[in-house]
Amino acid sequence: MSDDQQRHLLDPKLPYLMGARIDKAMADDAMRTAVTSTTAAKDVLRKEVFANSFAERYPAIKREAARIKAHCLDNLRHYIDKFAGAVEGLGGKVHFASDSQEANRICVAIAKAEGARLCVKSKSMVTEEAFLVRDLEDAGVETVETDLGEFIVQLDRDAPSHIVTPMIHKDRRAAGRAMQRELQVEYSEDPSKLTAIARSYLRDKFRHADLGISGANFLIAESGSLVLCTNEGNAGLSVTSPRVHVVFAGIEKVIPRLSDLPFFLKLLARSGTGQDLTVYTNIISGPRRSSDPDGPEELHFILLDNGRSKVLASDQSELLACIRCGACLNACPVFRAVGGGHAYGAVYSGPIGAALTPLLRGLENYPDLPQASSLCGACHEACPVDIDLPKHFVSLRRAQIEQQIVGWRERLAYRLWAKSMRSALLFRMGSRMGRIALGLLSSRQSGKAGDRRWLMRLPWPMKAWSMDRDLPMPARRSFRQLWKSECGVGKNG
Amino acid sequence: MFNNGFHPEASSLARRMVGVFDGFEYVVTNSASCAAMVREKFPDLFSQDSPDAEAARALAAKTFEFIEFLDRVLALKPEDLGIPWQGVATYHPSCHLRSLGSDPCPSYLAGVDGLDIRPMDKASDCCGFGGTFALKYPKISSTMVREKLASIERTGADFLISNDAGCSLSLLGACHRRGLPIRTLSYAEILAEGLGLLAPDEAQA
Amino acid sequence: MVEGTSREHFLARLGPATSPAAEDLSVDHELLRLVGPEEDLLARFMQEAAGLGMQPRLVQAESLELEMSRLLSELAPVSACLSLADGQLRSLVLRAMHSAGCEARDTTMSRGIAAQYDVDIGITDVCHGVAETGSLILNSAAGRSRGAHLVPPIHLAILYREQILPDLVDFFTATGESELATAQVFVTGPSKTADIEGVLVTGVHGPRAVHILVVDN
Ligand code: SF4
Repeated sequence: MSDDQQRHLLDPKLPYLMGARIDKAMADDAMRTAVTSTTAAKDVLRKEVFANSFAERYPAIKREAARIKAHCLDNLRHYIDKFAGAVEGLGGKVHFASDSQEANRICVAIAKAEGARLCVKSKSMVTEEAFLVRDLEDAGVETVETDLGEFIVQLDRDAPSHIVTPMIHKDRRAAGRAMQRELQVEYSEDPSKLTAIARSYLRDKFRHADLGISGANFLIAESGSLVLCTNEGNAGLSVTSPRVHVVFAGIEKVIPRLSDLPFFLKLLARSGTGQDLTVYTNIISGPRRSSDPDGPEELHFILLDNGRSKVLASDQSELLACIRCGACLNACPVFRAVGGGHAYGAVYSGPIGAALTPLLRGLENYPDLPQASSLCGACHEACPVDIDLPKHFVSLRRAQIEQQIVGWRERLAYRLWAKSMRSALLFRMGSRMGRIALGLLSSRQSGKAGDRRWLMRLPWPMKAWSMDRDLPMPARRSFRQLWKSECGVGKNG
Repeated sequence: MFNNGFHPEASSLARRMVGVFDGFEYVVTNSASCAAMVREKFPDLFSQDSPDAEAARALAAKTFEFIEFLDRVLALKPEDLGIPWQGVATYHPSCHLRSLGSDPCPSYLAGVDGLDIRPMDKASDCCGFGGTFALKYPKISSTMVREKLASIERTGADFLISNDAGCSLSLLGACHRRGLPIRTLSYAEILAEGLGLLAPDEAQA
Repeated sequence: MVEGTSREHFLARLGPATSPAAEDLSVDHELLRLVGPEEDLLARFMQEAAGLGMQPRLVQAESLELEMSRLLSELAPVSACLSLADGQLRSLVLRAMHSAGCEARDTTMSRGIAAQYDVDIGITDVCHGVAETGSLILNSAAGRSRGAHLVPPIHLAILYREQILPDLVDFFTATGESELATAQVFVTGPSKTADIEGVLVTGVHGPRAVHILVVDN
């Protein structure tokens, strides 16, 4: 069902180039406006709540959280092993999957063994990464997304465009149309009415589902616990009602102890939605015990590698510290300009996606992602675990050059530039030639009001500049000339 | 060059620059991005205990953005300067200030007599320049600059103050294309004009 | 059943077997503290909980039964499910329900979660309140239900004043010795979403109303 298009949007043909989807976003003002206003509002809210709560303590807390995460990643083998042991001690089962196909096979096998027909699923990026819903449906298990945004995206056979707020690219009319068409209800644009329709439809699914699938916000190595943070309560229902609960989780979700959790709980909701805490924080430790009146009888964890161990071994392992709060997406001016996540052609979008996707899915497959950033640093500033995302874009760009993914023209241009800048004579010659060239260009252009000091059309490689900006002519006298005449001669002449 | 991943080329340039400024007490630049590059990135271009790295760290330690220099080295108090300069302006903080730490510019601007500062709602948003980013992804870049200009226009300011050559060039060019009568200038220019060192039109030439 | 990758094989990709630095991690919890024990915890809790859209009501211990039956008459549920570990409290609640004309269903949870879908209100005790965030902390130990706070459309919680912790960190630094319950949940407000154009709607999947009787001894 939903997945032909989903596959197409978030799992496009490789190598993936952003161009067409940037054009599409440029043509779709409504989508860009929706994404811009929602993310900008969240970004403002995030800054406010941090200022009102931790204020000047915030940088120290970020560093502490980053330190805990770095410690986990440095000792990931130990903590994964410990986590698995603890889960088994509680009566749960842990499965290890090297890639997403394997993870899906394990999940389908569990569903089959239980005779599951209906599965309720809470929001999880890692299941998106694995395209789990497609494989479950192919195996004959009806699988329903229960997060409201994901539910509407699923009804529309669309794909999520933000890691926290999946239907950020859709408005209430799209939601109303999807429900009218797929659920045969009366069309409405009222968010409360639409929510009520979804509630009653999904309640029935929760009640009769025999399989519940969740992701994980955190895994606690010491106790074998799963931590889930949601606002709607859908995760709680998905993993309480059905007889079997399957958890999909990337290996980077593990943290050492329960006592480390408050760092992340206090950061996650503030960063993601501007709340102090999500409405529901579930800590689940094992399947139902004999003294428990309710809860699933079976609990399975499927721990997924899918390229993460390679990232772990690289000098970019810091990226695995991400807690998927979405703050960097909300802060990113590029994310807004391209109308949200679909332009990234991958499940993880925004700054973290642009850094992580090339590492998980091949640098050669995503040549644009490391490049499409002005390196403004808003993402680094927003990140509650202090991931220096611009630094990672630069590292990836460097790797692109080393692997010759960057074209020869650009490589040659930089070599020449570096060469000319290293020599005083060449530099002076170069800048004088530049002035002359620009002078020639300007004399051929009759500027607005005959203004000779502006350039409106430029040749390659500056052509793109003149698409939307003019270029002022350089000053008549260079700084070096001024310095020489007014302040005497500098050391190197 | 560094930002585009050309690290061997960047380190050869850094080596030259370290040499050029060897022997000077301070290096002051009127562009936050340049200061950030020298301070944050130069030392990492060389292996940790090489003499090059040592020299790069020395350069980093003596390099300042212009206002930082007024603030931290000369310890000039904004209110003491009391320079006169008439105008309605808005201020764009360069993204590179994020890595340089706190931004003393707003308090210096507050100390200018006659200057009416109107804060913009999207002050911390990037102007869309990003060096070669603007050339490689012109559509994304121009969407960003458009958002920024809209925010600038909402303030009703006649002047845009920015202490980063890249941002100024990009915003000035975009204003000119749209025929907006907004002049960009840096705090150094306000200071120079206020002190009578620079005639207002000379700065634009 | 498909077995997947073996544990040894999987772990081998994550680095060398022995990590000498593992477990060697001390953290500074005080950095996170926003509310200290010296504050007026009751007042802060009431304020935070109300700010989240929950409905806390302060009652004296001796009038708990009366206040509860009053609240139940207001809410007029036809049926309820109970998740209360303490026998005395359960009898008190049953009396209050009786006088409010509300039928208790499945008070011992013997029918599991299915029954909870048909009742109008879930009545639970809690193990803690958190003054900092206005949260209720519930767990499934001692025969308590995982679903009672979540499945019925209204949740009524009974919290004792002395159960209120200053800050979230206090919960995490205090646990450790006692055995973990299968399920713990922090409830911080009624269920809500802002997925459609950022418009806030309460009562998505969980209850749309959370009433708290805060008992002062
Ligand atoms: S990279 Fe940082 S800001 Fe972005 S989603 Fe991950 S944790 Fe949040």
